[in-house]
Formats: sequence, structure tokens, C-alpha cells
Amino acid sequence: MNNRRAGQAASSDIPSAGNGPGYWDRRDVLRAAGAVAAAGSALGASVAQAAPAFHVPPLYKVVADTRFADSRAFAAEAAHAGHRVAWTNGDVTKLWYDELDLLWRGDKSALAGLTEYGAFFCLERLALDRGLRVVFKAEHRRLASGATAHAVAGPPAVVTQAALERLSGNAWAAQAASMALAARGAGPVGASRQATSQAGPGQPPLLISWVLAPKPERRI
Amino acid sequence: MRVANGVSAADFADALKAFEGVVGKDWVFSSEEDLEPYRDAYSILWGEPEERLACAAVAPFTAEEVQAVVRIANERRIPIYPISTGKNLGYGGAAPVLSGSVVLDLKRMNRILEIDERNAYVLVEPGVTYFDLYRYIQDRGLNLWIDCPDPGWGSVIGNALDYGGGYTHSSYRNHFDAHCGMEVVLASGEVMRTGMGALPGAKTWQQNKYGYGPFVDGLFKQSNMGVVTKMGFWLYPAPEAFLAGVISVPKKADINPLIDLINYLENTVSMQGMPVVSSPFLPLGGSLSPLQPTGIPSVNAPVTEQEAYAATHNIPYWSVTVSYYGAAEVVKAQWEYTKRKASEIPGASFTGGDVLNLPLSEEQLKSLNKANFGIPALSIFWIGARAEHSDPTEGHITCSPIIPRTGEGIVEAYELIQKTSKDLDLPVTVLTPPIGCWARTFVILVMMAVTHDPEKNKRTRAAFREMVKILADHGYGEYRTAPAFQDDVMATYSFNNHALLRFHEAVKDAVDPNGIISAGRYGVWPKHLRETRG
Repeated sequence: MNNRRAGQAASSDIPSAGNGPGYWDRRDVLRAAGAVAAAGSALGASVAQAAPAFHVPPLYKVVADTRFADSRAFAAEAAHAGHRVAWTNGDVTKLWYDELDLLWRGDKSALAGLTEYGAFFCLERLALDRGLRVVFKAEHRRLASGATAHAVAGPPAVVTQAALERLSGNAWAAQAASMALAARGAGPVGASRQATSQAGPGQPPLLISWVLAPKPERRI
Repeated sequence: MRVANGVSAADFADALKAFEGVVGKDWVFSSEEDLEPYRDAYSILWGEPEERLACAAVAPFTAEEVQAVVRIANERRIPIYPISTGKNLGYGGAAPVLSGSVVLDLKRMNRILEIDERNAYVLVEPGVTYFDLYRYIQDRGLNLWIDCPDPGWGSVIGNALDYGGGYTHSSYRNHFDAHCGMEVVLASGEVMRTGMGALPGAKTWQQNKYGYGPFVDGLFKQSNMGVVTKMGFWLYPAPEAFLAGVISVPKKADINPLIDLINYLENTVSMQGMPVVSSPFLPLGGSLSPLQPTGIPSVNAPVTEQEAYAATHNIPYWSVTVSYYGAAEVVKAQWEYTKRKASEIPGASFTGGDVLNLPLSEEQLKSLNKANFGIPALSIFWIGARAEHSDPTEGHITCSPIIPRTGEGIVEAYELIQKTSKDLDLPVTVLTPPIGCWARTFVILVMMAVTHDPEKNKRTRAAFREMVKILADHGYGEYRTAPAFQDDVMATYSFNNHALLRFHEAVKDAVDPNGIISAGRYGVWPKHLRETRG
């Protein structure tokens, strides 16, 4: 037990003290809107048209795991869209203690990521306690055949046939990022679809891409 | 939404309205989406008609609101199920034992009411997590440690009431034993304080556990006799140094004197840290064992073959990690004393023994288990996710027998568990080394995969129940279990025609005559549900 390696989240850009309870910086809103537009360009016009029907919460950060190429690709796509990345190596303790526990006491900003299941499970349960919910979840499961099976659940405007076709390509992680970034402002989960692509080298048995976003009303 | 049997829709609707009047509309939940967090994420009944589901949840902010909610429920005979933070994963989570109960969610009651550095105690509410308490102490620079489990996101009160354990000094690892004084809201809505808390204006509520007269705190451990709204705990004055060393022995039979020595050291407080027993020959591998090599003889191989393999490959048959907390010169002396005593076992060898001055740097903690230093973490989920041999997404249930602290006890228990697991074809994913959180006994955790396939889960449930019976027939009782098996485990504690259960039921009937609080929890049912078990 004493020799167990403890993981370390590498994120260092902690929110400024000015982001008090319920405070949404105008730049965050604009940036979020820009992300939806950027994602819309990748997903097709339908998302960009559907998204304005819903409030787009600011995205605090994108969580990525340094160990996995697909997670790094997800983060790169999100960073390209202007979002900050919280790097972990699977253990989200530091991310929770130093950042999210404090942030989500007031500001219910969204969080997205592509991680192993354990990290997602922790963040999901903690987010539920603070009034957020899962609005997008895609399981990327490595099959014995060498393929990756994608099972995607999210807003209908995001989980489209066209989006799924892009997920079947080699750059599936970047496409998952595009879908995730669009999902947080596209309404509740209402569609589930599946796709298949080739697995990359070093891909673990199961990766999850996900978005946690605030509920419209206050919760615990 | 399904209300409990015997509750009319009108009474339920009336109760929800009354709850809203107490806590406000924002804190009464009844939509499907709002109730999702109150499902047991690790339920072995997932998606089946028997899955234990809440029909609503109410989240009070104060003990007075708890009293008002309980009175409303009692008047209408609405079953309620108090939770602290609902992180009791593997043992029920936030879900009630009786479907149709209203979860009484105490997360919002997260105040640290009093902390005393000089006498090293704290008084908290149920919503205070280990992270909360750790942060509170760190922010104020107090020279105190907490003792926390893996993971550290749970409630300090909740984990103690469920008989959870931690990793630091033996005086604090048993979280229920480390408590001192409770405040409890009874089913009538009346509030009671235990120990010195019964004395108005008492100056020692968190310093003397027993007060005057019968000691009743145990009635609220793993129970349904009331709603605990405050609880005191003794904290660990921060030690100056830590030392861990490993004692290794070459022969299978060496475990007997080795465990006897560990017991002597612990019971004389010559060793304070949690002993960790490991062996590459433990049945089913012991996937957490750092000593697990490949190509090792089967667990069924003759002992002579195993011992020859160990000698050839220069690995021990058994190792025990021992650890010490205190002043540097003291822990060094205790390690030297341990080595002198253990040298009486032929072939014993020793590694480690470096003194770590506390507190540790962040860099030092990267290679250590934070819980050994009273630092809460979530890294246990990371370890689970790394396991290639199982898909961890749907959780686990755990068979957790209490076994004697003897070498013979360890060997017998593992041999029985190995045989039973194979005979019953149990989907065991992790078999831990003997866990020494609690004094005088070990607990072995036999973890089994939960799926979302009802047929697989059904087979696992049947095998799990059989294993509980077999273990009990050999004198091993479970220390805790998931709601699906709480009746089964309680049935094994059957001395003199279930005299203990009948006593529990008599107390339950007396203090909660309408049976509204946590019906069925740990196998104790109120009178009106006793025959049908819910």
C-alpha cells in the first residue's frame, strides 16, 4: 500500500478570485459561443442552427489524460477552439481539490474531457452533487478485432448521422471534441447512436468523452 | 416514480408539499432526472424490478429542518432514508434499502461546528466530507490530522456510521471507535444528544464518550434507529515523522509467528501504522500485491515447490509492511525493536526503515499513498480503471468477511475463499490482502464485478449469497454488505434463534413505532414490513 503511485493532475491555471458565485464573465460567454460556432463548422450547419435555442454555459476547462494519444488529440482540438486544458495522468484528486471543489461552490461552469472511465466516474458523481449533469457521453471501446466501437449519447442536434460518419474516421478523438464542445449548449441528452473506427496504438480498453453542464435550476 | 407499499398517492403528494414548506421548493426532488444521483451506481439489481429506488429526495439545511421533515414523515408514515453524501459505493450508495422511500439527503448540512487543536477533536454535520475537513484544517494551519478512507470524497459521519476504516494511527483508523458524542433526531422528531451531550452546557461532549448510564451510541452504527445530525471525532495530533519497513520471511508456516509479532507490536502500541500482509502465493493472485511475479507456481502447487521457487528467485513467501508514527528518534527505536523481535524467525529479512520527516512535500507524496498521511484522494478510482482484467464501469460488490488475526486464520480463510470462489464460479476481480484497519481482526475484501446484464447479476447474487452462508458456516461473518444482501448477512448472525436481531427489532419498534427510518437497513425491518422484508 505504501508504494502505490499517486497520480498528479498537472493543471495550474486556477480561476481568478473574481469569478464569484454565479458570475459568468462576458468573455467566457463569447468564447463559448465561438466554440459552438467552431464545432458547428465541423458538425454541419444543423448544430450551429440548433444551438442558439439553448443557453450556452461557459466551459471551465477540458480534461485530458497525458498518457493517451486520443485524449491528447481531444485536448488539441479543444485548445484550438480557445479552451483551457487540465492535464491529468488519470488521477483527478488535484483537479478536484485545487479547482473544481472551489469553483462549483458558486460558478457552475461546464467541464468536458476525454478520459478513462475512473476519472469520468469521479467527476460525474462530484458534478451531480453540485447541480451539474451529463449532457454528452461517448464510450470509445477497443474491440478484440482492432476496431473501436463508439456509443454516443447527447443532444439530437449534435448526435447526427453526419457527425457519426466523421467519428468513424481516423481522427475520431478530434471529432468527439467537436461534438462535446457543441453539446453543452445544445440541450439535454435525447439521441443515442453508434459508430466504428480503427483503434490507435496504445488505446486503452475504454475511453469516455463527456460533458458536464449545469442544470437550469439550482441544485445541491 | 413508485411510492412505497402502503403509502397513498394523496399522502405522498401532501408530504412533498409539506417538505417544500420546510426546506423550500428548490430542495425537494421528484423528477426522474433529479433522482438519478440517488440510484446506486454499483447496484447488483440495476434495471431490474427489484432495484432499490427512491421516489423523492429532500435536502434540509439544519437539524431543525431535519426534525420538521421527520415529523411530517412520521405523521403520514412516509418511509425516509437518511444519507450523508451517498458515496457508500459498493454498499448501496445513495439508494434506499426500501424502494419508494424518500431520501433524506444531508449534504447541505456541511458545517464544521467546532474544532479544538489542544484536545484534538472536531464536531461536524453529516455533509462534511473528508476533503472538507482536510481543507478546513489546512486553511487554518492546525496541527491536526484526519484519518480518511479510499476514496476521500465521502462523509466523515457517514463512513463512521457504516463502520468504515482508514490508514493512519491505530487509535484513529476505526472511524466509529474514533467518534465521541452524537446528536440524533429520533423518529418522533425529538432531538437527543449522547454521552456528555446529554448534560446541558456540557464542557466535555467531544472529550468523554460515555457520560452517565447506558452507552447507546452503538445503536446508531449500521442502523436505522434515528438520524444522526452531529457527531464528534477525535483527531490525530500531527506526528513529526513516519517510518515504514518490510519484514519478509521465507516459509509458509512463518506467517504464524509473524502475525503473532504484529499483534504484539500493535497491542502494545509499539507499532501504530496499519500492517499490510502480502504474499505472491496468496490465492487468486492478490492483484494489489507488489510482489506478484509471473511464472509463479500455482496456488495449488505443493508448499515445498512454492518455497523452493521463492528461494530460487530470492523472493519471500510472506511480507508484512509495518509502519510507525511519532518522533523520529522514537520511530527509529520502534523499528529497531521490531527487527530484533522478528529476527527470532529464522530467515527473516528487512528492507526499508528510512525516516520521513513530516509534513511531506508534494514531490514525496507522488510515490506514497496519501491516505497513510491523512490526506484524502480519489486515486483509488484511477487504480481500478487501470485493471486490464475487468471492465470497471458498472462497479462491484464486495464480500468482506472478518477473519482472525492469526497466521493460521489467514491461510484457512484464503484457502476457503479460493475454493468457494472456484466452486461457485464467482466473478472475482480483486482479492485484497488482509486489511488491518480495525484492531484485533483482519477483513478480506473479495470484490466481484457488477454488470448491467440481469442474467449475469442474478447468477452473481445467487453465488454471493451461497458464499456468505459458507463463510458463516466456517465462522466468518461479513462486516458490511450491499443492500441486496443485508438480510442474508443478518440471517447469519443467528445465535440462539436470532436473539440479536430480535433485540434490534424490539428496539426499532420502541423508538420508531411507525417504522419510517431506513426500513430494512442492515436487515432490521419495522414491524409492518418484517414478514415481507419490504
